[in-house]
Amino acid sequence: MSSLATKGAKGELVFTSFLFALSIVILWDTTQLTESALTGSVSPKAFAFGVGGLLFALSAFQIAQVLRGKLGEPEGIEGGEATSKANWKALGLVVSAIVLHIVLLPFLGFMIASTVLFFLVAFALGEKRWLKLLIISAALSAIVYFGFTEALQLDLPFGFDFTQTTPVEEEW
Amino acid sequence: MDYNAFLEGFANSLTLTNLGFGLLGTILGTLVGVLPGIGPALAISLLLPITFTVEPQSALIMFAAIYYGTMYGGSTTSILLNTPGESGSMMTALEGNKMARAGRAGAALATAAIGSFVAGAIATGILALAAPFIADLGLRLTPADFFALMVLAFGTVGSVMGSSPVRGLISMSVGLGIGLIGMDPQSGAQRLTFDAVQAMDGIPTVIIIVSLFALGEALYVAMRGQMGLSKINSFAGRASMTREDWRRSWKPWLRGTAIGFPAGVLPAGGSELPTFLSYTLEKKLSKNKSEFGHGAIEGVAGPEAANNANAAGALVPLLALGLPTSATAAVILVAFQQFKIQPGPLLFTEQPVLVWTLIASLFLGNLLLLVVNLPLIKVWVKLLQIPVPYLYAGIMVFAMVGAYALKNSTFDLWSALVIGVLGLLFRRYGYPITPLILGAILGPMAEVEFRRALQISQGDYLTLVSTPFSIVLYSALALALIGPPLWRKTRGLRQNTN
Repeated sequence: MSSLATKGAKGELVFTSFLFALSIVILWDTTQLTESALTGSVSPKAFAFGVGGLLFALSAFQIAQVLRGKLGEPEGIEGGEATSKANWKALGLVVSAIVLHIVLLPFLGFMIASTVLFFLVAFALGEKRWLKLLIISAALSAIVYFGFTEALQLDLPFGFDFTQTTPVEEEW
Repeated sequence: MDYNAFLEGFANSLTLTNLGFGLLGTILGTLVGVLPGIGPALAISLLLPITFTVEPQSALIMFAAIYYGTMYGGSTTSILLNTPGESGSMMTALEGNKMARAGRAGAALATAAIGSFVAGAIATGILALAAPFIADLGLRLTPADFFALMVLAFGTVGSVMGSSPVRGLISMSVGLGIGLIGMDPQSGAQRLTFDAVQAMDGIPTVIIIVSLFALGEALYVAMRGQMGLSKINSFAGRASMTREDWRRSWKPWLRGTAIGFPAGVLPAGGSELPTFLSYTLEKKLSKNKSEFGHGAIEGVAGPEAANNANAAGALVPLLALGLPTSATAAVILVAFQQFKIQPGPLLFTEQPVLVWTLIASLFLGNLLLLVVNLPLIKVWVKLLQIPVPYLYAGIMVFAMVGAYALKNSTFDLWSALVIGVLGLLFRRYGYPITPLILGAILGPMAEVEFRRALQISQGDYLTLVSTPFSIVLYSALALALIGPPLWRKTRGLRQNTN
């Protein structure tokens, strides 16, 4: 087995174990449910135990399969080709773009948050002419904002609205 | 059949507004089919916000038109670019692209479009005849029967999709797990919410679909994608067929319809399987076997007819039983629910005009697609020149708007990110996505029927297998799960002895 294949096996083993752990979480959560006193209703536990048990059995079986070297085939990519090596930098950029978008949205408003999102995602996927990209990002965000708020009457945060304290979010 | 409602529906579909939304849907659908990275399920999820402002009839007509339209659009990219714009067009790419390279792009595009039209027309006709009948049958089903139906769907969708049945079934169970999240409406118990107030209502279907298809895909492309415009096959002149092309196409169209429609009605989870079956069948039956792999027109005609018939077929269980069998049908179900309309056996008696308007619009949309599609092929080709980074960035912005607009809450956006990462991992390790979505949507519905059945029987689990219908379904499921590996094994043995 080449070193690359071993690495893939390790990753898949971690992921399959994660699915297994997920089944334990579901089963554990189900045992923690308090039975309702409602008579006649079937307990919410029954179905949840079924789901947790199913995932438990299947992922345990799958872990054995991975250990025997039966690995999954990565999915193909539409409009391009899949590489065998992961591009962590691009992936990190897209994840940060999403995180930034969510964090900025309530404070700086939709237009700025979306400009950042569009810019970073396109940049991560290979568009390097940043000035042109920046202009397109800003223009598109403005069009989307006014399209959705004016034409579809959706309520998107405009931002910089200091008359209203903490616009949308309660703490969680 | 209720002829008055049928006629009223047809008249309704001809109003200017409804025609307009049908046309808009066909164009949007084709666009979505042409562009890589966005399929019908994602497109309709992103357009769900219009349900706040647009009439139910118009919105549903548009969504159904998008579903049909993507099947048309996908063939264009497969033939001209060799990159299928959606998964149902994978088979078309095999022969269609070879035909285009040999300078027969026009014939390939024409047989795809006309085949789609023929299949769409026949399949919509069968839908109109069969759906009321099945709805009637649905009225007589007990909760235990419905539960069996859904278990069958879980089993077949899970085991049919993806590279191995276990992977598909795991994907399905993860979906069922996501479906558990939230407050149980019957007992008030909170499952898997971990005391987060925002999780009480569960994870909305739109969030699940948007994050798996848009975020998951973009993350995966960032991690693994090597983007670059593939060469577009030149296409000059008109999309038309010779007499010989017609002679070779009409049988595959009909056979494709015959495979695609039932595969849509049954819970087989989308258009991959029927298009594959149709392709294999045409290859087997063709007199020009040597042409396969070098541009055989039968290999385009069959699968293209199959995927359109499949889309129509999937609407049968959706409208008549309220059961979605593909990711797109599941989103259309959500659209119905946004309007407080529940598809299912009662739909045909409670909303006859709406149903018939929708079905009539499907006929019209199918016709519009044929008229709109062929002359506009050059426009679609232009669209393919949008650079991929802009495409994915745009999809991402729309996805986040769609996710946020649901409840104006950033909690939904965080859940979208988490599920998006799950989508990335599923793609990386070869797990199919569709079973997860169907599990998350059908799971809560299955639980309702499960409880109803047990309530009636006062907790006796034997009630689940007490009707002939449910016994037949469970046997069918057992056969579907155990049959193929058993068959492979015996065949392997026989080959060994030879």
